[in-house]
Amino acid sequence: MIYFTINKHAETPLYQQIINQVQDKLSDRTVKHMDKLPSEKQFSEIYHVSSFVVKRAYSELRKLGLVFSVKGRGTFVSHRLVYEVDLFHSLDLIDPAIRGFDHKFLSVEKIDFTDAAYRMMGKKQGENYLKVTWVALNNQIPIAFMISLLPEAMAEDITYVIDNKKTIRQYYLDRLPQVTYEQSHTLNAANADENLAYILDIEVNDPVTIIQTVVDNGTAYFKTIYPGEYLRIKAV
Amino acid sequence: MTNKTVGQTPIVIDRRSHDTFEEQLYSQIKNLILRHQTDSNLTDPNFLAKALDISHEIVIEAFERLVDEKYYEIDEKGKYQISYKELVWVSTDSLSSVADIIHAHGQELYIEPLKVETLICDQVIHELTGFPIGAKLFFQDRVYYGDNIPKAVYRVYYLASIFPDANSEQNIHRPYYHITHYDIKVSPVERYVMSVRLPDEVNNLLNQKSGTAGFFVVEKIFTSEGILSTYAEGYLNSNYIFQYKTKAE
Repeated sequence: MIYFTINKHAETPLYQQIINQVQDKLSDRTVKHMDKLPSEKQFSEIYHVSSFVVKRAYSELRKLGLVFSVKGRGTFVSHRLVYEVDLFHSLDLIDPAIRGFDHKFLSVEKIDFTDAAYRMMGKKQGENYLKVTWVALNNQIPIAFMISLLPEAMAEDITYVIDNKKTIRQYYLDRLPQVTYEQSHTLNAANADENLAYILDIEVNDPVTIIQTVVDNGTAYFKTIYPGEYLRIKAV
Repeated sequence: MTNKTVGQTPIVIDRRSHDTFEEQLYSQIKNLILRHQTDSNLTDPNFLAKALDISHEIVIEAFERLVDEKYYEIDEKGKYQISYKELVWVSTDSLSSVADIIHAHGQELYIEPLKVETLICDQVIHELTGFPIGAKLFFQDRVYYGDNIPKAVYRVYYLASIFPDANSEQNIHRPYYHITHYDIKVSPVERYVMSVRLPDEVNNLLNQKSGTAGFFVVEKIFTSEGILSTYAEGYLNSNYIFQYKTKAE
């Protein structure tokens, strides 16, 4: 548990003392991402501080993006931003790198036709596709893991894309004829396996949000996976 | 030995039952899928035949029945895969509720109220919901069932001055969209979705394993004059998938 020093005789209001100390601990790294803050009850019992004061402090810290609450589990320190997107503005959701975050390529390979995504696109054996995986980062903290499937014939410049830090999706769309394409999306929740937990720097079985997009009846496929507790989707 | 169990998968074949082995296997697999308590062994006919000490033909018979009912599908390599999902279509013109999805699957909807209260909005409820402090509210904690299988857990707050009958005996069993009669074209709505590890008490109510991830949904419904009339937050079972379309930008 994170410990505090509360001075009831100081001029600084009690809620502000809590806020200041959380900020200091984050700055000097005496707390780390996902460390748990005391509950209101614990604060009251240990420091004799009213729950109203704690609520106000935690509320302010949430607005600053320094803590987040998980229903039924408590309030946690956060080095991550909560990423807010609109469900119907697909670009932000599918391609977080479009917001200017760094992205790091992980792998490029020809895919096995049995791959689930290949099936989803309705493609048969014999059509050559490349599978590109990459991760979007904010201050070195992973925001999302992305898998893109592109026709191999379209991706001969893939090393150019990687070297010049273009996003795969934008690269793909730039090379299509100038017509409007429809995209079909699905969104589901899942528990992170070991591989995802490692890539996204979360715990195994932490929740993740998975967005899968098929462009124009299967010419391309994008799968974007976020740490679930850091993605808030407006769905209207 | 009369009964055979399968490793971590709680399938039990009762050799004294009047039900055939195929019927028992089919029913139990279907229930495990609906409760999202599946593992890779459930689609492996060789494993199940060996572990349950029943013929391979019987397992295939059960699997084919599940394919017919769209709980399973057969992939390009001829292997069985679980395909059942509860799909929610989302668009800017309409909202699908849990009740809508249950009806779309041809299931019988039942809403069980766990708690029904009249409250006065205090600081805590105000920070959660946005209702003004001092407002009289009706509160319901409820479970949505489809064919007796729990689908979602919701907590709903209504502004009593707008919905004076929200906690009537009839209304506590009705979907809240039916009580509020709201029209997305007229009434502003705020809705957001997150993936979370569902709390243990919710997983218990949804018959899911501890730690299962699922969607957490928050909805705020406003009157055409912009007054917050309803606040609802819900946990959906982990079979839910949202589907929607957009134009490529």
